[in-house]
Amino acid sequence: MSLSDEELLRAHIAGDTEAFGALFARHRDRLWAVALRTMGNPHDAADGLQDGLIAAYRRAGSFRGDAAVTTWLHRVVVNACLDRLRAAKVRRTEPLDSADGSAAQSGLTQNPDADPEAAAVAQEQRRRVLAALATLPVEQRAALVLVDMEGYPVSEVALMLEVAEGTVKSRCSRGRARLAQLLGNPAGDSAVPPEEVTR
Amino acid sequence: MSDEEEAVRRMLAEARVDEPMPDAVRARLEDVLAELATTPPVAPVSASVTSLAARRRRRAGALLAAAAAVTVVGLAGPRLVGWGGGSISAESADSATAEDTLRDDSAGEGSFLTDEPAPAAEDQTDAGAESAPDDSGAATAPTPLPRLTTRNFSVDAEALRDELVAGTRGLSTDRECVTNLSRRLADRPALDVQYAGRRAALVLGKVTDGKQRVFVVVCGEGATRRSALLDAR
Repeated sequence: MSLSDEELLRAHIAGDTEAFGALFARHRDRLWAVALRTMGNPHDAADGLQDGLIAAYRRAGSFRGDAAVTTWLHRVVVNACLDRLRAAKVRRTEPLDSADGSAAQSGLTQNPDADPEAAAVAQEQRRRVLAALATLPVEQRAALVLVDMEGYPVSEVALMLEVAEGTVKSRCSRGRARLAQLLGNPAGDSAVPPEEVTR
Repeated sequence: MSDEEEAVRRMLAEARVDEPMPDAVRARLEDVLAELATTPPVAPVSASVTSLAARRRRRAGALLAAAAAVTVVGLAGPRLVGWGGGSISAESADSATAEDTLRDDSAGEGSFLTDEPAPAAEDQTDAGAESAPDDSGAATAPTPLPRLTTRNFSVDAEALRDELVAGTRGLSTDRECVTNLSRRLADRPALDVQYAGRRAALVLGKVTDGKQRVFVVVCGEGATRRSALLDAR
């Protein structure tokens, strides 16, 4: 029988050198997704995730058990990413197709039977959304990544970001409103040209 | 929620990442975990609630102790040579403890980039062969390599890059470390450093749009271990 997240964390604190790796492996893909969308490019996402990994490893003893281990892990990783963004070490995003690990993200190569034109349109929309997302304040960006992209409940995101649920909701609401402006009329057919987004 | 907000939510959901973590990132993080596993285990719970003032006092104490150790080694160094590995190893272990304390306390408090007086104990296994005195017992120690810490990587890398650009540090003398990696990086300026207890090279990428990416290549490995995007100088 496999150990629970909390049991793995306790084992790590007790000195089991394999436990933390097993715990991290269990959640790494989702943590990667959050880091990538928060930071905007794979290079900086890897740096932010590494910072979070080290912090979680070293500060596992501070886990109080008042939230799920995965919530705590997300909190540590998101904080590490936000610290990097706030430190203004990351000021720009790079084109996704120029960075490693991103080829599969384009959507163009996923299904050879898919309509190429539709795939290209979807990819362009994704590019515009990500470019617009990158212009938001980091707190709004993190809230939208966790709630709207990753689908976490507001109550859990509040624990991850260590803010009130109302704060998460307002950040999401303001972020969506700003994105709607940047993306033109997302509910309609027309949209502003891509260059409008990055201005 | 308005139609517009709903549309934005839908577009965000469609832009989520569904692919697993890339292999290169997974390998890098596994390296970090392996490195962490060789260091003292998890800080106790009490460490997370220690006051800042206490941490600063502890760090100041550690710095004083480290400085005193350097002084002792500097004054008594020639006499220590030939005493056997035991004494020197013990001193390195003390040094490692102080370094770990510094690293633990360093979160968000700037860089601890140092030219180490001696490699930390955890580094001896990997770097010892390169830094150990030769059989003649010569008292001239090799020039210590500047260290890039994992916690303050960007800050450390930026400081070293600036020193290299300013000419206060020389270019790498171990081009093989980089040329084994890729032709793309082989022609770029590089600096000898220590990273994760290993001899490594900090390679300066090309400047693009006022930014410069720097890479760490651990000698003997076939991939860049880490990178940071810096403002160009």
